[in-house]
Amino acid sequence: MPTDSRRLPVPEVSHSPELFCSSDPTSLINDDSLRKDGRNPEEIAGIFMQCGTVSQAKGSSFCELHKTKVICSVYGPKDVEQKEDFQMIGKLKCDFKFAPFSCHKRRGHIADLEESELCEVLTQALSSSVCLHRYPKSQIEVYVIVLENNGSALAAAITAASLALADACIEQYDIVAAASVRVFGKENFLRDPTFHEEYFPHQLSKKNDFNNGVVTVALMPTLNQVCGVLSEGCMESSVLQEAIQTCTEEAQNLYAPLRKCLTSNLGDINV
Amino acid sequence: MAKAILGDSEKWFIVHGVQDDFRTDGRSCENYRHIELETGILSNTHGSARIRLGSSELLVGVKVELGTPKPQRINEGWLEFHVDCSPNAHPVFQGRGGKELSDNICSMLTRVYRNNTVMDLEALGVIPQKHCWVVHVDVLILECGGNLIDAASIAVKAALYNTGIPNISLTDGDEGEVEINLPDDPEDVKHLKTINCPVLVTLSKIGNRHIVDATDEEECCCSASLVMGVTRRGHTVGVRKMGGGSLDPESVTEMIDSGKKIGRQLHISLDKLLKIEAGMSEDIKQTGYL
Amino acid sequence: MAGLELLSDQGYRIDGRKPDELRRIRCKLGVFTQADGSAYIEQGNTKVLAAIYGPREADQNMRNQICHDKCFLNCEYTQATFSTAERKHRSRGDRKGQDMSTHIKQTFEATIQTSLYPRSQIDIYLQVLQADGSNYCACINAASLALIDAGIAMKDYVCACSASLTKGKPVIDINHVEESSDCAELSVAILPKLGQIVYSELNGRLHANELPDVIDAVVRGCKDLFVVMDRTVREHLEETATTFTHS
Repeated sequence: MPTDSRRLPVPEVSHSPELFCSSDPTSLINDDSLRKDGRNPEEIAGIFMQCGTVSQAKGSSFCELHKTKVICSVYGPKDVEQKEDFQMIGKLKCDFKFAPFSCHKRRGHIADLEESELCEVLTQALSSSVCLHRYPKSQIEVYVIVLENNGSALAAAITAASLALADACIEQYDIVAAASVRVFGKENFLRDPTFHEEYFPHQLSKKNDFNNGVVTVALMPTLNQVCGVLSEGCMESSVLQEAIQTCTEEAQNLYAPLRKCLTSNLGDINV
Repeated sequence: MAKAILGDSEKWFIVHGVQDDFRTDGRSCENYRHIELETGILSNTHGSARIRLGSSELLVGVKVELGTPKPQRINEGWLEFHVDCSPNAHPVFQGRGGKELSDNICSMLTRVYRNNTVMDLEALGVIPQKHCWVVHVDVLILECGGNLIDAASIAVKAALYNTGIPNISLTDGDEGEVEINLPDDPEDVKHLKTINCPVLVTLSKIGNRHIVDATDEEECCCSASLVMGVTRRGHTVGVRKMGGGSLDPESVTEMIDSGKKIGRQLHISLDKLLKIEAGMSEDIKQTGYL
Repeated sequence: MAGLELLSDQGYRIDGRKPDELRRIRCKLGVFTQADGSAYIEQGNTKVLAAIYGPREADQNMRNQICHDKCFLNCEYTQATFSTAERKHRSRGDRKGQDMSTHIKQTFEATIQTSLYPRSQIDIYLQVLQADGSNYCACINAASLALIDAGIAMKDYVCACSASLTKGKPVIDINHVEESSDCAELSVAILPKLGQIVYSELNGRLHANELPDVIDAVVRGCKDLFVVMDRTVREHLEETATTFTHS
């Protein structure tokens, strides 16, 4: 394509203007011990869940955790794509993607390394709950798209995916609930961190970086089994263990709303 | 991942052995296999290391290049990891077959090196906002014998320890621009401070107990494993659960404690070994693969 | 490279060698335990690892290549990102890698007695750890040793050497600096005992009158290389034989 010589070309590298603002070193908790969005440190975010959002999919769900919005569709069980060797255990294929407009910085269309890592964690969390031995020679496809990322995207995604699998009538040992916690300092945990409360190493100086991080845990509440753990940031092991404990408690508390969402959906069908 | 194919009775044998704290090669649950480590074997790189952990073999090469600093950190350089699975290790890695494994290892390494405490990135800055050192760490997997993640992290630490960044001097050039001059002497280098670099410890759950440094066969029997990055002082820098099984919350706590203890021991032996090797005279020939 | 002459007036090259001198060659067989055969070769600063898997049942995706009367070869050449002076990320399946893989495959198709392994597949994997010129030749030599280590029947050893023409004199076993200059580069792989050429490649221009001299020089280089490789194989055999008789 011949270049247009009358127009100035777009620069190859562009940055968001937010990067050039002075970084706000205000602490995460203000004097009234409230967070930026007015919550207490232990207060969890408001959650909204709905099943059957996507009519073409076998099962689907929409989950909103404060402002983070995640939509998930499940297709299957269907024939395995490639003519691979005969497998008695079904295959779970997950796809996790941030929509290009979902984060503060625009994401590309092709999944980058971070997205494939989160996809792997999602797959492994769901594999422990789905009864794959009941679907030989088949595959189940789970597609998760994050429409708006305001923190705790992975936790919302795992919960939404498990809900969608239940909506698709895929057999599971238990539903998977996930929660995340931001750690700053030895005793301070913020449940369900928003995007600004998440851990970004470049916002902290070297001295302040110790015992700072974010921990996400996926749990099967009734069976009390941990299906996924992901943490980042340098912490003492006791702090990490406590953070995992906090996440586990919070995931347990999610069980009641999840159950309510599924049963209310059933009630509609009966009519 | 290139998995060994085991029959059911073989799996039961391994599981029962682990219950009694006695693995197939005679180790206890918390012992590593024999580790061979050699640094500085590739002359084209600024730092390199070769590790042989049991029958797993990896090669790490570190090259530093001048690049532009990231907009959020104008005074600092950065590290970039890249993992490649050579088809030498297993025919399944031909073409793009090894992408999943290499992505896993790469993302785990990036995760544990992503905070401010492990490396002094300001030492990699040259001219704020214009130039900085970018450290490219390339891991090449040559043989798969289980526990590649741990081996990769040990080799990366050794290679970074061995890395020498040229001591550049800045002079004022024309038009007010600062010129960067490389030294003529290839030995005129400054070393990176790797004292806080973490090591990844993989704890695999088999039956009711967890083991460290699983071989290929043991990896087939394990349902879930926890990979954690541990620094010299026993702090955790990143945790990720791998595998399709589930873990008890108490197991997770136990595994973190074990991992911390084992990680610290690993650091002590590794630091000692690196110091000894650095102090060795240059008359001793580097053997590499010979 | 300004100021550096490829061949000085006294007849010495940049690295101090004479025109008909090979670089220091060190090789070892049986480097890996999991591969059926493996070898490592160092030609000066060029370091190559070769691994052989086979003969084995054909892979799922290569089923269409099975022959009822002979085996088929599958070759992959990969170069590490840190192998060259400037770090370059090479994706799998790029043109150069594919090119090299095809050349190496053709060389060994002419050497291996494929009729002895019907319906099977032999995989040859080459990994270049450090590239300092004559990559193809080092790969052929390493693969040859690895095939011997794997016990695969061949007509003869395959020895490869490269040559160039500087100031009217043929120079053998060229390194990276000599390769990057404007001179022609001839790579030849021969079967030493049978005295046959299995592969030859010429890059650049060479006058027809000068060609016989260059070919003679390179064949002599290959024969010298054969002596080194043969000695290594015999030493390795003695070592393994003693471990068998003693254990």
